[in-house]
Amino acid sequence: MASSKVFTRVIERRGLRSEISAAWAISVRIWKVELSYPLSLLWFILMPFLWLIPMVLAGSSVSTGPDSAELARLTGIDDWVSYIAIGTGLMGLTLSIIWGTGMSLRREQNVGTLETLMTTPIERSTLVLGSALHNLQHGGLGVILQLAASTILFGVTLNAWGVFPALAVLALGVIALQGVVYAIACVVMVAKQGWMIVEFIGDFLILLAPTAYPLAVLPWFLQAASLASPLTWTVEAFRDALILGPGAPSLLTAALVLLILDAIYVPLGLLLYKRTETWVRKRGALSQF
Amino acid sequence: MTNSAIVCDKLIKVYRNRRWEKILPPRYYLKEIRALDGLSFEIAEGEVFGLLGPNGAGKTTTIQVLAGLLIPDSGTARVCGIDPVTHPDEAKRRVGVVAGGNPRQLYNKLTARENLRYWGHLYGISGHVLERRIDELLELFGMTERADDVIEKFSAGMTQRIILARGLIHDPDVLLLDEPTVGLDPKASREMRSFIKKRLVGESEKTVLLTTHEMHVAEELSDRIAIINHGRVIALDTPEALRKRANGGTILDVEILNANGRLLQTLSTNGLQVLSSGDDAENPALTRLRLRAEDEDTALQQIIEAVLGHRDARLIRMDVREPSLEDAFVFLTDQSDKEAAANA
Repeated sequence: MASSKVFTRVIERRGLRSEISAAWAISVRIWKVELSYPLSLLWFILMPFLWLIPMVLAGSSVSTGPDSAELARLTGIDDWVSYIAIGTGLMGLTLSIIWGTGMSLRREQNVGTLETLMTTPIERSTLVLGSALHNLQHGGLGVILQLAASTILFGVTLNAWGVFPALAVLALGVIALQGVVYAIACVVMVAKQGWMIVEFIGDFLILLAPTAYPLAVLPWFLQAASLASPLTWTVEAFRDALILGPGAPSLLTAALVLLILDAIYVPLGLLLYKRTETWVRKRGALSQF
Repeated sequence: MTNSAIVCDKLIKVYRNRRWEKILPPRYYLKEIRALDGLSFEIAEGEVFGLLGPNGAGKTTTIQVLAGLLIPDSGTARVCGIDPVTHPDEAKRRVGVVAGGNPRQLYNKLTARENLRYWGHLYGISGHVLERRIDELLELFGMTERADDVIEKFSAGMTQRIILARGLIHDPDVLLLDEPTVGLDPKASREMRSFIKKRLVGESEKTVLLTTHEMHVAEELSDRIAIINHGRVIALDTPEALRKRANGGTILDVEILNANGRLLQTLSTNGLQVLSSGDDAENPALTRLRLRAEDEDTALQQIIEAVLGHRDARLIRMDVREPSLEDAFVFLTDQSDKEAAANA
């Protein structure tokens, strides 16, 4: 009978593969709900350009042409349009991950499904992971759209050989960022209405990252702080790979640093998340608003 | 000997202030609340067990502990022999949780089929096994034709059916139904009760823990009922035995026109227990009383004499019946409240 096969499947469900399968199902569900709101889709397509265009206009107003000698001196890249276009593309991805994933538990609570989700045998962290998968796809598509439009509209040129190294660095950066996101999810679990903390963390990470300006223009203490941010290394190396190609000097250093940050942030984030979730269950605060 | 599907043993859950809150004036923080205060009961496999109690008695807290959503301060709980605190994932495979009165447990922009598929995936079911299970459940709940409509187009009754289907998607041994008929109209409520009785319990032999405020629901469905108050069980028995716990006697529902406080006092003085009294909303001069008496004949005489002894008072109606579960509930919880107040 179908029901006994069902029960067998449920009992046998365990291991990483099951969690990834559940995370994928969560990701697909979020897509389905999001795409049922047409305006949401329109916003998703237009949003990356709303950040980029003002920056291009600002750059045009202070620059005499498409090249900047000062930028070349500080970063080795003289094409400031390409510099900003690629950086702001990653900014969109970052915000998608931080906001979309960090607030995932709160969203489920607002929908009314959080407690029900917590009664299933998925790992608590899988709920956040599923949201992260969706936001990675969401933000990733945004990066592709923005870069494609930038090449067409603003004459941005990308080094095709740099795509794979860029993706590799991006993958390492996203993994480390996921550790940060788990910590953000803890804040939301406890504070409930923690959007201002999420906003602060997201904005601070972006401030420290060379999305639209080189690190050298930051005060020395912010430059020092930026070394601990995975976003800093990711943006720098991703852009260098796409502009300078696979031989960009920053690539290897960034990859090594990101591997170290992955090894620190992910276990730390997961541990914090697990402890916070247990604390919330002890206090009976899961369903509180 | 039947095995126990659910065991709660001396569960305690106290909500306390956080240390820093104690520096604030009292009106800014909650006093200590003992949501569960040594709660203990066992439910046999295949049994339907009703959990009745006033608001704040601990019903939902009990469900949350068994569902692995809440960690008690002490005591143990077991579902199918598994502790949901130490082995939550194992326990959750065997438990289905359905909370009534909250239609937002589903994703309104997804169809019924998409919702069930999603929840099935979370339980590790996929492929043709999942699709057949979904078809089975949709047919069981008479929702096959609406399977591909989005939830937001459903009525409350239809939504509740899909919520119940979701709770069954993984074919659990134990179902925790937290107020499953809340918010349903009488017809939908009756259909839900019929389903639980015939299909869930009769055919599938699931173990069901049911919390409800509705006495008739508890009475109709439950093999045994526990009445809880202040976080502990104050009575546990079959519905029939519990009715007799309403301190025996006879219940009289009386309507008197122009009754006043002196008349009510006269009734009490004559040995009649006033269980409840209230004025009719449309005619404030009409007072409805529910009285309990040891002897029916004596009570009738006392009521008539009391009414005749008060000018302007008129006896409009009087119904005599055996104590109901509601009467037992009110009696037992009142007793419990008085004991709690005395011990405070």
